[in-house]
Formats: sequence, C-alpha cells, structure tokens
Amino acid sequence: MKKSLQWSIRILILAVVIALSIKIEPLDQRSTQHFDPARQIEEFWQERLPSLLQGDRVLDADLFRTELKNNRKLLVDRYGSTLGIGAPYSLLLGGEFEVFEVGEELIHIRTEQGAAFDLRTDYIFGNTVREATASFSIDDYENTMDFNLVASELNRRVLQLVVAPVRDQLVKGARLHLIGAVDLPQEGLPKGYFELIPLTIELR
Amino acid sequence: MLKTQILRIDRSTLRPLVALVVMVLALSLLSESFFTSDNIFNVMRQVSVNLCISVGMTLVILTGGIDLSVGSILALSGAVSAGLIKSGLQFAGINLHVGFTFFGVVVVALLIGGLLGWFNGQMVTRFKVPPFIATLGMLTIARGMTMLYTNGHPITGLGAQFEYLGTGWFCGIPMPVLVAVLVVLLFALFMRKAPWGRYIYAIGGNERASRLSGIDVNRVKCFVYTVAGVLSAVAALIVTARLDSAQPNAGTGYELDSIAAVVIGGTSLNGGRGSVWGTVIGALIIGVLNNGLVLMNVSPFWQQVIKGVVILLAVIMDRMNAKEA
Repeated sequence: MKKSLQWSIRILILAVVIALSIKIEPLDQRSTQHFDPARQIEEFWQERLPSLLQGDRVLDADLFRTELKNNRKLLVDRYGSTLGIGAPYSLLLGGEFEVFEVGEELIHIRTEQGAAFDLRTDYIFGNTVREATASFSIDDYENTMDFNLVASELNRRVLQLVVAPVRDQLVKGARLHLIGAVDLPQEGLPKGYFELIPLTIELR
Repeated sequence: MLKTQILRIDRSTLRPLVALVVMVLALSLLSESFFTSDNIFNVMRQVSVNLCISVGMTLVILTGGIDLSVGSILALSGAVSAGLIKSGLQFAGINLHVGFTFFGVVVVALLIGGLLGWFNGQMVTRFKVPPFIATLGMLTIARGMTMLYTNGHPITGLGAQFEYLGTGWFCGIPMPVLVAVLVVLLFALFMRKAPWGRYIYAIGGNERASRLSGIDVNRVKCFVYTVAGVLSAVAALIVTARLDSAQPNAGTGYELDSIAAVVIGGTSLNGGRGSVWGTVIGALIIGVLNNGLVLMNVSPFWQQVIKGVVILLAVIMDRMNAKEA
C-alpha cells in the first residue's frame, strides 16, 4: 500500500512536470508559419542566381589578384559584401582555370596568368556563398537562425548540385570555367591560397 | 543557527578573503568607476555564471577529481534548450509538433547536464577511467554534439522569459546573481549539513578509509559529477538568457576559469579540503581582477598573464598550507 502510494505520487509529479513542460499541436497547423529555407532557396537558385552569375557582380579571378595588390578598397566597395565588423568580405569570382592538384576536400586550380586558388569540394560551411551573392539581408528574417539556415541550404546545394555531378572529372590537367565565392579578410591575406566555393563549374 | 552553519568560514578561506578585500580597496583607489553600484552589479552578473559552474567543480575537486567537460556541457545544454524553445520537436510521420514551455526547457537543460555528468561519473567509477581523461573525452563529445545540433550556427530570439532570466531583476537583484546566490546557499548548506556533504570531504581526504567505513564511494563520486553537470546546465541557462542566443562555442575555456576559482578559493586539488565559500571568494577574485584590469586599460594579453600568475600563487599557497597541515 505504502509503495503503491509512493509510485502514485511520483507518477503524478511526473505528469505535472510534463504538462507544464510541453504543448502538443498538429504539425500542419504550424507549417504555415514555419520558415522553409529549401523553398526560398529553390526560387533563388532557379530564377535569380543564373542572372546574378552572368551579371557585373562577378569579378575576373586575375583582376581580383592584381586589384588586391593595387586597389583593395575599391575592390571590396565594388564587389564585396560583408556581415559587419570583423566579418570577411565575400565576393564572386569567375574565370578559366586548370586543375593542378587534387585533394580530398580541396582542388588546387590556377588561371593562365597564374592566379591560384583552392577549390573547395567538400565540407562547405559558413556564410561565404550567401554573402557573396549579396542577395540576402538579416533584416528580412525573423531571427538569425533562419538567416543561417539560408546559408546552410545554399552550401548543401553547392555540394549536391554543383560539385557532385563533376567531382570525378576534376582531375589533374582538367580545364574548367567556373564562378565561385571567396572570402577576403578585412585586413591581411589568408595564410594559404584563397578558397573558392564553386557556384557553377563547366568543364572545357 | 542555520545562518551560522551556512556562513562558517574556515582558515583556508581566510587568505583569499583578505586578498579579495585588498583587491577591492586597491581598485577602488585606482579607478573611480570601480566601486559604483552599476559596476558592482556588472561584476556580480559576470561572476554568476562562473560561480554556478565552480560550485559543481568544488564538489568534484573535493573528492580528488576534476571535470574538464563543464564548458562543453554548458554549450550543449544551452543549445538544446534554445533549440527546443525555438522550434520544439517535430514528428512529421504522425503530424505532431511538440512545443516546449520555458519551464520545459529548463527541465530538459538540467536533465541533459545531469545525464552527461552522470556519464562522467560512470566512466570514473565503473570503468576506472582517470577523471582528467574521462571528462576530457566528454569535453570533445559534448562540443561535437553541440556543433551537430546547431550546425555551427547560433540560435537566437528566445523570447521574453529567457530574456527576463538573463537581464531581469527580482527584489533589486539581477536574476543571474539571484540564481547563483541560491545555488551557493543550497550547496553551502548541503556540504555542512547533509551526510553526503561530509562523505565528499571524507572521500577526498582518504578514499580507502571512507570505503572501509561504509561510504558508497562510487555512488558519491557519481553524484558529484552529476551535480557538476546539472550546475553547468544552470550556468548554460544564464549564459543563453543573457545573450538571448545559444552560441555553439559558448563555454570554451570555462572549465579553466572554474578550476581557477576553486583553487584560488583555497580548495586543495588533492581533495578533502576546501569549501563552497572559498570558491565564492575565488570566483569573485577572478571577476574583480578581470573587471579591474579592464577598467585600468590593461592589455588583454597582460590580463591573461596576470590571471595565470594569480592562479600559480594560489596553488603555491595551497601547497604551503598542505605542508603546514
């Protein structure tokens, strides 16, 4: 009797804690309010990105290297986009490249004039792609988590739709035309080569 | 009677207390901004997080152990609680959404902290993994799980109740400070009055003798690691609420600050000697030191050097104490 009373009290306390802790509702009633990054990015990817990559926001990779030495400020003012203080500038770069070395996550590529980059083909994280397109503003989102989901969704699409179809053909000596996103630190230069995240890859 | 039991300060606590008083006096003379009510509350708010973690760390160190995973447990508890209050759980197959109230996420955060702490305890007691290694493993596991859960992004916009916990006031006291004070009072009383409080000292003093005298050493050890996890989760709720966001890299290095607070407060790294009150003083010394150095425009690099020297001095004093004893 005593034991059953103890258990009854425990179960009662547990039930009260659960009742005070959670709210259950049908999922479809919430889905209208729920932010869906895949749906938003699908529209961007299909309709706005192609024209963006053909527009004047894409900087020639060789020009990037020379202007970086000569006129960095103009470069970032004209082509760069940044989240704010301390965050790097992100830019869109394009050009004709040759593959020089193939690694698991990075592929070393160079233009004819010698502008060298590491093309990232795996573990794509961060905001580089989102910021380089300069098409998304934090003010348009309810919270930063939704804004970050946009970056994650873009990165996922790069891996699945841009890299995966051509990954096996990116071998030493392959020639390609690509447009990608790159981060330029607010000051100084990266320790190694600039890492380029591809947005389109066309094999020649 | 109860008041005197809670406030009883032993000799090992006296030296850091004197050091704290001297520091406060010196900084009051050196900086006009130091001894103002705004700044005092600011220091106390900053100290509250470290204090919650350090109380748990005190219990662990008193048994002769160490817990390096508190910062990562903080990060994971904070991230999960933020994620649950923000998005809840979705079960698409059965068209169900489970939302969490503020009370609910507090419960879940404490459960996560407790569970990870208990896991540490099991590693140490059941599998005889040295505490340094067991909790180092958990440090990495919990940090990795935080990154997986958040995808490396912060979770923000957590609502009014979280905001109140982080920035609100109750009876003229900032909420984070109030939570830390409650934690301190609870565990100061526990260590003085509860049998398990005495067991913790006994185990740290002589584990074999404690075992032979009938204390369930493994159970008590497991308990202290669980408490350390739970208190890390309490700290997680404060940090998350103060920032109104859960940061995936939150709590990095907090384990060192809490160990420093415990050691500076006179708790012996060998276990068996020390107190929660000593840790309060240790945490205040670190908080006042940080604040004072900032107010005096000391370079952040020098701040680290000075903090390191203070910790070393505290350990040297601990060794001298041990020799005297």
